[in-house]
Amino acid sequence: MKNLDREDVTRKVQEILAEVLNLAEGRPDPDARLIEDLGAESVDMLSLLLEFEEAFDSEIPDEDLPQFVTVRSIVDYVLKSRTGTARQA
Amino acid sequence: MSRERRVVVTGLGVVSSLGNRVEPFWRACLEGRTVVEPIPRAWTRYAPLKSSLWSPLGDWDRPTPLMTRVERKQMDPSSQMALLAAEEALEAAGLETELADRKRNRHRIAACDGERAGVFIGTGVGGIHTLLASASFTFLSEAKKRLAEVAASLRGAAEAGDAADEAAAQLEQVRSMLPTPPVFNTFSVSMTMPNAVSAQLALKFGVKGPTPTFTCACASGTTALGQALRAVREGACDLALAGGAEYLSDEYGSCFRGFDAVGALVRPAAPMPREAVNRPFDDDRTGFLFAEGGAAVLALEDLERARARGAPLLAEVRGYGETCDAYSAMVMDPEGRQIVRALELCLADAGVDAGDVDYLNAHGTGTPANDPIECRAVRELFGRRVRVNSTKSLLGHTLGASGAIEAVVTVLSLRDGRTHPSKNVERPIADLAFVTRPEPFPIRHAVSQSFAFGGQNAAVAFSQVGA
Repeated sequence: MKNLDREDVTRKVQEILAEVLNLAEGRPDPDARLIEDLGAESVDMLSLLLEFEEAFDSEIPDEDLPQFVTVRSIVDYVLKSRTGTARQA
Repeated sequence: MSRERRVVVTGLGVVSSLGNRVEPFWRACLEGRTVVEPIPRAWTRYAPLKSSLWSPLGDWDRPTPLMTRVERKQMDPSSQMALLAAEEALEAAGLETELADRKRNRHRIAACDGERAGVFIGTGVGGIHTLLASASFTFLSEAKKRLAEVAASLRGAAEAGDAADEAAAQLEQVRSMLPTPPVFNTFSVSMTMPNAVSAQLALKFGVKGPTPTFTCACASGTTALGQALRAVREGACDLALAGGAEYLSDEYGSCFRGFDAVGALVRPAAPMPREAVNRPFDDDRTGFLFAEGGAAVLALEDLERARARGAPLLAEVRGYGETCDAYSAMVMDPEGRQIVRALELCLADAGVDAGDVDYLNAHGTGTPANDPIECRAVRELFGRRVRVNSTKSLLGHTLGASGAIEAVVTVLSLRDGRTHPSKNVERPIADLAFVTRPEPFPIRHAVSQSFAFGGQNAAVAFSQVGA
């Protein structure tokens, strides 16, 4: 999966969140918080990790999970990881 | 609770190589159909296998609101198949389910308090498909990366020539022999554990009563049914989803190799049509036909409760017996004493005389050693009157699912007053009444029996309701 821009990544992240969290309202707002606003539980975070790894063809270390706070922060993480800078975030 | 409760089967569900719904499955059985195919060619790259045939499942999956795409990725195929079978069994029993938790996609059985329901599932090896996939990822993914790097560096070396290119090509070929999943599945533990199937059914349908798992190799499904009978009879629950599930395929053919290595699988001595190689109870039998897998679930209910809600009363689950050979982990005791005793215990529990049993669904694997032992035990207890068939002569051996699938066959045989032929019994090894045609005959009482690697013997008796 090459040449994904912010819009592509945002759409994909929103799709994954909507599917994994069974969101009635469909795609979540970019500033929606996973736990507080979208109701994600710890097991959902594992599901999301698996889906993001597959969708973006990258391994996500557990210690990076705290960066997964909002839709936007996940998009930032994915974009940074694709340029090799996520671990320094 | 009274000890007098009687237990009936009110619904059936099946996933098998002969059909993924009960009625098409049953029609295929009565027609004596079978699916026998060459094993995946890739498996022969990893081991010099003696057997070359198996019974694959084909396209067993189907859309269901019970499993989302994300949920499927978090369930071993054995759990997915069991859920499909449970869905069918509940539908057939007239036990509607309703959405209880939209976010988690959890459902509930409308007509049964979850605390009065149970799940009793047998499986021989649990989520071994998932375990092997996770293990291959763990063992091989870094090595594969390194192989790719070395191949690339060989090709890119300044002095690269034909020899370097050849070496790089060979490394890439080795790499192609090491299939791994794209990522490590973070749910591998909850997918692999043997109790995963029971857990997934309980989660999906909000079952909060007893939900044990039985791992008695090839007797697992029968043991699960017997224990479900006891639980409903004794009042531990009013409804039990009971059965078995198994999925035995993996990228490397590891499960197949295990049975192949001990010479347990079909290996015809002379060329013959594929559908003729699987020959339980025939002189030319050479071993069992390895099956990719399968699942079956039976809805068991307290008779009075089932009657009150107008449920289909397919058969009564009448008795159960279990013993252990304590002889060998892989070989049946040639004396067969504990097989006879399991049957005697089962019939005593059922209150049925051996002479009144009309139909016996045999274990009937087709191995040279086991079939004669089983035949002697059957002859000793039942004589020649009982009609005998082997469902494994059609489906091959689905290990932990087999007892449950064979129980489905037994119940359908009682329902319809006929059963499927025991395929390929052309030169029977014993003087028993093997079923050769699906002709009608009166069936009031029937028994399904299973024997396991490990020595466990289990038998369940079914009867016409009211017989």
